[in-house]
Amino acid sequence: MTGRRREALLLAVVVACAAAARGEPPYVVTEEREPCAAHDPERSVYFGDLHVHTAFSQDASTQGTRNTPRDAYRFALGERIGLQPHDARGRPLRSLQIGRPLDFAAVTDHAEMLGETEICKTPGMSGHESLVCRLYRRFPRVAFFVMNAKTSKADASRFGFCGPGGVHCLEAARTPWREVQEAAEGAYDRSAACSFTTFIGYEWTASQQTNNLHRNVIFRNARVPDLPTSFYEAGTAEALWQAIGKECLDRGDGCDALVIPHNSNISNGLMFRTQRSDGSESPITADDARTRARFERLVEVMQHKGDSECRLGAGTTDELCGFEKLSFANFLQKYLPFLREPPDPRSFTRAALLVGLLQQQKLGANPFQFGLIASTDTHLGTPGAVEEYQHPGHGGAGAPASQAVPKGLPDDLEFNPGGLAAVWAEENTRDAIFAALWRREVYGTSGPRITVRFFGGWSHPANLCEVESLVKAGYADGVAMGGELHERDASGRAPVFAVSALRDPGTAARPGTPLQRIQIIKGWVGNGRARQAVYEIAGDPDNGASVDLDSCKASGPGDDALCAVWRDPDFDPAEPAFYYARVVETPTCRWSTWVCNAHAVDCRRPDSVPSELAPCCDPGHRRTIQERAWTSPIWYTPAPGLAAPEGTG
Amino acid sequence: MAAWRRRPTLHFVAIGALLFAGEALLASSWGPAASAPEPLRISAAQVAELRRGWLARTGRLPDASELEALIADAVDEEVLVREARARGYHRSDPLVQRRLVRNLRFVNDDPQRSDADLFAEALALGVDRTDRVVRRRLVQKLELGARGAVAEPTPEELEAFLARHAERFAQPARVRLSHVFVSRDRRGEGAGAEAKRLLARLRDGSLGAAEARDLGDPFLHPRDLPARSPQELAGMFGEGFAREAARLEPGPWTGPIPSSYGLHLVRVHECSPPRLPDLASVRARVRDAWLAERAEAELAARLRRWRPRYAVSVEDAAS
Repeated sequence: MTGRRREALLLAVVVACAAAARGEPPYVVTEEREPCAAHDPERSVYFGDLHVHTAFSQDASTQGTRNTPRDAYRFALGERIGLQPHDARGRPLRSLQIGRPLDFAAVTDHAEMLGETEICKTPGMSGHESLVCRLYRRFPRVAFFVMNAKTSKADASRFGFCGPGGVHCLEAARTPWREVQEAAEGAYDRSAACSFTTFIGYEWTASQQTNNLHRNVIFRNARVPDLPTSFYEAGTAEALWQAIGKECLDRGDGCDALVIPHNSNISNGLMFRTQRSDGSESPITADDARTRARFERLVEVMQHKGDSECRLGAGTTDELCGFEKLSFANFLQKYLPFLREPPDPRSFTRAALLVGLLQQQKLGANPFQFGLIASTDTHLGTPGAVEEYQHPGHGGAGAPASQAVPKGLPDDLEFNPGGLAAVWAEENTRDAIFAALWRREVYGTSGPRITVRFFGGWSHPANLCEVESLVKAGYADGVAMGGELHERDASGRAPVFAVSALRDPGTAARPGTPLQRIQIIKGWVGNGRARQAVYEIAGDPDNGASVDLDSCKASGPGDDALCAVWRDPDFDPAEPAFYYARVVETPTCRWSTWVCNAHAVDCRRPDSVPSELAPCCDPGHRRTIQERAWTSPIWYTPAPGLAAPEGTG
Repeated sequence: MAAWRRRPTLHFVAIGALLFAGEALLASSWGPAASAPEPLRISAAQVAELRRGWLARTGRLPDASELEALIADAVDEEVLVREARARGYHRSDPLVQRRLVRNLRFVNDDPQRSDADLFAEALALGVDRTDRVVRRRLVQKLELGARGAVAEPTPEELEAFLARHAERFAQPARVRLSHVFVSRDRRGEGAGAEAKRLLARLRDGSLGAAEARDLGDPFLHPRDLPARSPQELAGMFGEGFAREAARLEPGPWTGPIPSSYGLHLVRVHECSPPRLPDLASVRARVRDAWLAERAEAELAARLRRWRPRYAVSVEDAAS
């Protein structure tokens, strides 16, 4: 009997045992572990971070990050860990701890273990005076992009010195990859406590002329490919999906993976294209669309490098689209401001969801049927470090802090601490959470742990918020976030949605912020054109809640809980549509305001403000933030129904 | 003796032993100790750089002992980099190679030159000695190497480690409870009185199960919870509620207990105290923690062993 067949058999036994122990879970169990003490068929919400860089990412390590994947998981579990810079004895000069542990996390270091660095740009770094750096500086600033451009070509070839049979290359990449896997295994709680789940993952870091196409790959369990697929092996997203298909799904041993794009906001419109990237520029086919939908079932709607939901002025008057926007369309424009232009409207998830509906009509398959999550993209090895009041700067493309504790703002003014991924799962295990990610029964938050349920159906009663059975009815008579509604009754009745939210309870030391409002965002295709509308369904946008910018003390009303049942008043059964909910808190101080206040910056006396704190007084400085949650959409498709993408889950 | 000659198994063993001994000998003499290592000199410019770095971090110049520590740290990094180089990592590591070739490609106009050629030139120019990315990579390889050198722990060692770090691996306490919610949003100041009223009704025993089910205000989390840990309860209701609930014993309806959302009348059905798990159910985590601790000690031990091989001199920074 081959090893694989033996494993498959073992798997079948495990599945059978698990099913017998507590009724069939609605997902395939692919791993052997103790059953959880707490298992809720109606699902609980778990909060995590699926985008974390550690010292294994060269852009992090050259900024002084020493935290390893192990340290990152310790941090996620609530331990205090050190942050750069380090003193002579290797002691960190800063440290950080989150107020409460995360439920799950994935370390996603760059598959390209040798990312670009900015050493030569940064005086004082060792290596700054090297020959190469002296030459770099003849081309001030541009060097960075030339270096980036070198890795941005789709035909970048492997280097020729990998030794006989590529042995050195393989060995070199395997060691850190093994470490990533061991750290994930070492922090995964397989006991009945089910207190913490880890996922093995990596970031595939491709860009086109600095237009960001980056994606994270998250694996379901410990069965993963021998090596991560980097930009060097797969220069396009299509090639990445193909590699994962070949090296993971086709193995038939339970290996499974999702691909999660991020920072479409700085993709210059390229993240959600409907042309093939093979150079032909021919339109994607139905098969292409289905392949994409198979892998890219989620997108990061928000993270350290800004919000990707929507952009004001790009087909919408939705003023909440102004949230955490970057002012550039790609990395080239970040560093060369004279090139700046507003981000391409096609870069945003709402626009892509709309294009998906149009593609669905055209091809019979929707390439952009994705749910929404958020994460941090920390480059400090600090998953879940989303608190505004103690944002240390996440490094990466932000401000490095390898040599000195930043005297002013620890991050670029436009950047932010990032957000969290929330999932509705039966229990805190890899299989249950992965299945939730697959179902898209997930949502993103800009940091707080807001609880949101979102159900859609045809027959939900108007008093659903008044009864105890909202959740039971939500599942029984409809679908949860991430699901699909199909034309059902000929009466042409409009679908009904229920959104119920609880504010973040916070901690004893820092209670959560009250909620202000719930909105439903609808996108649809009418007369062949993409349309969108925002409906206020609960709370009060003008409730007068505010925050004192000097003390960061909030005042005014707000709600502990909001709930509403809403029937689409403008429904046309012939028009395909998606609906998602946005739950918005009352205003609080943005991270930059906390820093500016800590330094007692007084913008009325410009002479008193040191240059490193000048951004505090920038006219574009957004001093407050209305933190929020975005649910995954529920789609409505006129008959004939959508072909469900194949796969597990 | 004759029997010895006729037994090939023994030959293999003997040859193997010889090879093993030879390799061990080689390994012990391999590296900088075999030849006189280049003296490790910290230049005045480097010392000045360390002082500048400290000034930038702390806003003042280092005192004598601090400067000594800074120099010791710089020496350690240099020792690690040299040990990595002595093992040929700078030649064999493809990530180092990729980095160096990329550096040279950038400053070199001739696209015809091969990677190997550029790599050789980078080494000849000594770019690998100064490039910060390459240095970090080399140190990282030694760190990973130290981890690889730690032997697998025995079950006894793991048991002892588990006992020593009981708090890290303890299974949390759990409480299974039902609750009736009184909303602060809806009742405002009247919440306390309403809770008192409901508690009386729950306790007087006249309510049927269905009636009891309809009491109170709707709440998003379920009325009857599976056994939850304090941390899970804190995530659902807030820390204050979790702390209070942890103190309750199974028994009749009680409360109200305040949460982040209002007041709750609570009935605990069962609770279990925290306990130390069997090694089997946490083996992977214990093993990983054990290995991490040993690897750190191993790297420190290696550094202690390597340091004396180098004649260290520090140029006096007159500044």
